[in-house]
Amino acid sequence: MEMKGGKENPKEFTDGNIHLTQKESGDHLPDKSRGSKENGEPDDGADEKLVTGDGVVKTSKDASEVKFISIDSQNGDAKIDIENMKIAFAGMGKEELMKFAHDPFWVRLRWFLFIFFWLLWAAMLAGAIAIIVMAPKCAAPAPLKWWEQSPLYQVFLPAFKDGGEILGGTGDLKGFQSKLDYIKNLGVKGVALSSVLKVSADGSDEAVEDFQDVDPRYGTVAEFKALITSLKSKGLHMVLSLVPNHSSKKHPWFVKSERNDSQYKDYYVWSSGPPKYDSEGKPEPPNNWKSVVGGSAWEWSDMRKAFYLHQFSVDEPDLNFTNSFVIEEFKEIFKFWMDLGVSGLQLEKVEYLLEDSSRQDEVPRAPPGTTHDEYDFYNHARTVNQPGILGILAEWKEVIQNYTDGTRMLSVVGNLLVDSLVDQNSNISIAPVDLLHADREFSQLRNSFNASDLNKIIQKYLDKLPNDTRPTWELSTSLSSRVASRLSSDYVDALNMIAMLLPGTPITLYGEEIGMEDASGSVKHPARCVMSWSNATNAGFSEVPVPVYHTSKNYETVNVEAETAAAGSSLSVYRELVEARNTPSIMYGTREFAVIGNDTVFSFTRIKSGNPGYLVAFNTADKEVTVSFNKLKHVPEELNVLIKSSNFNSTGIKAKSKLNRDSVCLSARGALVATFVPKVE
Amino acid sequence: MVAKAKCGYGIHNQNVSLAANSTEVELDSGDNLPTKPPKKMELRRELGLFSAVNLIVGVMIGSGIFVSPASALERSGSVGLCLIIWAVCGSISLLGALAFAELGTVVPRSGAEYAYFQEAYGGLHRFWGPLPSFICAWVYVVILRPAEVAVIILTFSEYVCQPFAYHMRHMPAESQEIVKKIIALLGLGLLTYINFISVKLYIHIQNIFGSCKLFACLVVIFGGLYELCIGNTENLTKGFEGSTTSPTNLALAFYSGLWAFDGWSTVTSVTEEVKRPEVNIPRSIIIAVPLVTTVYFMMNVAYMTVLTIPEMIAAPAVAVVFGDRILGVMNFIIPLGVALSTFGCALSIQFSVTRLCYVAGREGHMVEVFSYIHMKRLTPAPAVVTQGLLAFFFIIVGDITSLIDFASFLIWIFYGAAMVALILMRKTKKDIKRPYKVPLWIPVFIIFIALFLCFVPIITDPSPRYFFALLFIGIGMAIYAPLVYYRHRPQCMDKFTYFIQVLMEVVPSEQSMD
Repeated sequence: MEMKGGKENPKEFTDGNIHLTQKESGDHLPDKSRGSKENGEPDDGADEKLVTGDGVVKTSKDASEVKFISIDSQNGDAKIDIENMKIAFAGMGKEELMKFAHDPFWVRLRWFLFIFFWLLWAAMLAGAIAIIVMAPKCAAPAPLKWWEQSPLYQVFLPAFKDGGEILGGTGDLKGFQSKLDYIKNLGVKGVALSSVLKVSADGSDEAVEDFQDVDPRYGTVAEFKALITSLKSKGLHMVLSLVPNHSSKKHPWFVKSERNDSQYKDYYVWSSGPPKYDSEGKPEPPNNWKSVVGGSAWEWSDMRKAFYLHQFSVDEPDLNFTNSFVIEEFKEIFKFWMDLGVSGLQLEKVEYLLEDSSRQDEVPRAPPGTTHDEYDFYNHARTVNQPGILGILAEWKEVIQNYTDGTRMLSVVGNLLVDSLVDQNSNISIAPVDLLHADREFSQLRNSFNASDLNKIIQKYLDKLPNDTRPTWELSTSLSSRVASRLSSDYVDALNMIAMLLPGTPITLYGEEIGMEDASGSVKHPARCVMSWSNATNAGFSEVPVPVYHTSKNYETVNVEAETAAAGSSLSVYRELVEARNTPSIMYGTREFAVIGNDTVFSFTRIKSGNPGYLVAFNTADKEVTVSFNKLKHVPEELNVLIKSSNFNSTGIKAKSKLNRDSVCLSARGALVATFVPKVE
Repeated sequence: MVAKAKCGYGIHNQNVSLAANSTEVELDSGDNLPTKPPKKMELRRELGLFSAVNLIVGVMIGSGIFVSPASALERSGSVGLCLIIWAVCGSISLLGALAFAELGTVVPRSGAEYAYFQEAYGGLHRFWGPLPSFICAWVYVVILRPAEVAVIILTFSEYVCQPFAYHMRHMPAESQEIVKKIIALLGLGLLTYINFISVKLYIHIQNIFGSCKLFACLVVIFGGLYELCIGNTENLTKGFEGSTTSPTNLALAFYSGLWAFDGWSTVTSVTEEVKRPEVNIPRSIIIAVPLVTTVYFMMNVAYMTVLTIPEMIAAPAVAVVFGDRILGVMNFIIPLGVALSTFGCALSIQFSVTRLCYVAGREGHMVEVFSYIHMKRLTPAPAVVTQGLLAFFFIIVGDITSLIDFASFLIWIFYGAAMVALILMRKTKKDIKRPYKVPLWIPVFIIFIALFLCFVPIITDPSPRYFFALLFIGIGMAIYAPLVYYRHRPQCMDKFTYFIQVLMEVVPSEQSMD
């Protein structure tokens, strides 16, 4: 065996010598192969193959020892030529190799590595498949539902457009129908109509006498049907608002309930047990609950000899939603309207649906300036947002969602609900409603707010929103005050840009797209002014001398007619924003916020890889600022202006002009939307 | 037979081995050896003309034309100028490739630039002479090619994952990254295995994938032509509107265009495995490079017909957007084509670099086991495994595009140096038969292009990464001096060689010049 090692060495030795001589001749290439090539031994290597089989006979241990010995001996023996030998191949020839390579140890090792390689390969494949298969599954990514794609345009019917025929001075279905083209041209696909249900003649809008009829002030069921038909022909969806919490006192249900009719006696919230009487012999309410409008929420019924609960006016007794029959009644009501063709329902005041069954007193929180008889004196832990409301909504949503083609939606107006969604149901997998109005965010803004104020409000809302709930952005409601009055007309376009391009669904109160101010004169709900169609009498709303609702303060300059004519008006900005919502970046993109320039500029980007990105920048300061957007990680050096607010007056910035990211000049309270090719990190 | 074999061998050991082994030889030879007539231990000439063309096409058309053909467009600013740039880049590549074809016939050895540097400069100086070839091998073998393989196989993985994008979209970005890396590693394992196991298998797969790749290109081209025919010429008629006037942008447009064509020298890096190289190498180049130029040109026309300039620039993968736009339900063809194309490309790049590895090992510029070939499969197994491991390492480490950036300008330095070698060898090796010769202006022209292309990135985007390139070359020299020039060899190398030999059943090749 030792001889074997020995026999290898001389061969190399020889090669080394050959090589040396070649080097002398000027060839520096220290390779053996070329040496051997030129040596002309073309065939012997191949023949060796036959010889090499002999190696197999050897045992494993011997094989490895042999080699090491041979190396040692090589070093020992041929010190002088060692360098030359190193250049030469130390490798074994084929025959030599066969002896060692076929040793069972190496054969097994090779097999092991071979199998190990493929096992590892298969394991990685399985791993990759497992990761993909185990990936969280969610609802289909794309086509957004119409109420996700489009803003929901809120129409307060009595102040939108007077059709003239019925009772003059009030907006009605006819009038609304005549303005469908305007709504269609805005680009919106969804209109939420204020309640048209039949109410008691002397009651409020919510004192519903019949949940399945149209109030004669607005028109008839037939007109309603006709309206729906024209809406559909224009590709518009209608959402009908209604308040399920209470009905009119004159509703047949209440009439029967008061008479203790066996079927209806539990349709409303009645006090139980014999009442206590005060010193004057008058019955005492069962607890200290106050109605929203002030005074006790309980009213004595002489007929039934019990108190009924009215969280709103005395004429509007609260329905009892712990009674499953009542819940069922509303399912029927919803079906009735959906049969007429409405695409969704917008339920208002849902936070009041249930009350604490223990009937315990509310705890006073006594903010300054309130008395114990007022609603605000107490906190409302026992009457508002009670557990169980979500369950009712989920039940209703199921009815609505499963109705025929599945394009119907349930929208809910209820301010406090977001908190309760998080607190009680953070692990609920399906949001119980499709849209959840949230107007409290922007109503917190006070005039001369700065960029961080705005950012904080938005972040706070987004942070507390449960993951699967779609954000909604509502600048004002018909119960509040309009942006142009509450804040300033300078903010109209900027806030519309933000509401429209943030992830979520914007909810636009009629008139906010043109920047209407509140109603002139002092009224209970200043936002409820008639729509400013033109600068004609009554803003083009009605022919009658004195309509029920007032005109907006600025209707003479700010109206649909004027803004349609003017380029770059708030109305055109709104339309462009609606159009921008159709781009993938706005529909599905990620968001990134930045407050820059010492709290002056609020900005955010929307990015969906492979699509133009969007940048919204809003200078909240009342002076011009020049800022850089390099804080936003996807914004490249070049920006293309897409939309600028109507009050933007920097020269040189117009739609389609290019901007340099690092010095964008924003005029006082000016806002712009720019597109860009997103930078890849 | 046995006796004859021994006779040819070194005189010193002949008798001894005969005495020791002759009794056992006959017992085992039948089991372990192919019964075919004995062959030499060397890489076979397996590549015919078709395969050689496919090799060039395979390396040239990677993912670039599908994924990011827009950078030339972005720089040039207009449709017309961009198409001119593509055509010019194709012509430059053809000239370069023709010069390499001559080199390939003068130096009929594998390794491309490496072999030419060796031949032209090797004898000029004891120390400095072999250095260019060593640096060339060092950069290609250790960094550039394995990093390219890693990047391309990651692109492959991206497109393999595409059908599952629906399932993966809610996964956190990190796990998506992990899945992609795993799939990249699977692809790498597969292609390394192919190169390890058989050259024939490689050729078959390469030919199939090459055809699929061309098919995907043709789908795009005909899609574009169809749109043109139905009168969709709005984008193309913009012509030269918006052309850049800045020389820097023009230079950068050429720079990115030429990158898309890189790979035209590939066939010369495997010269020793091409059948009748003196005929097939020039032919394959004459066929493949104009073919690729035409394909690129027509694909750009197709893209520009269907997509606007901003759409092309913004698209993450232009061909996919294109496919979604016009192929309807057949749009899966494009991602599939990209996946096949990238796999074939990585396969071919690895194939060619293992040959460089092999040649460098043979010449003593790399660990010598790299030059050993498997005794039955006749593949350079250690070189393949090493390249597989390097690419594996690069995939695991991640973020390697910058690595390629900093080393890639060296490629053009090598091309330039190869042209100098060509001119030099016209002088020093006058008498070698040149079956084919390019006019002298071609190599001179390519030298200028090469200078231009190394300086463009340095001037337009001076960054410290070029010092990293120098640093890396410095490391190469630090290795060159003791290990190659002074031929110091650590003791453990013998054990290592032995280990690799018995583990992989590899033996030194016996190269012959034929």
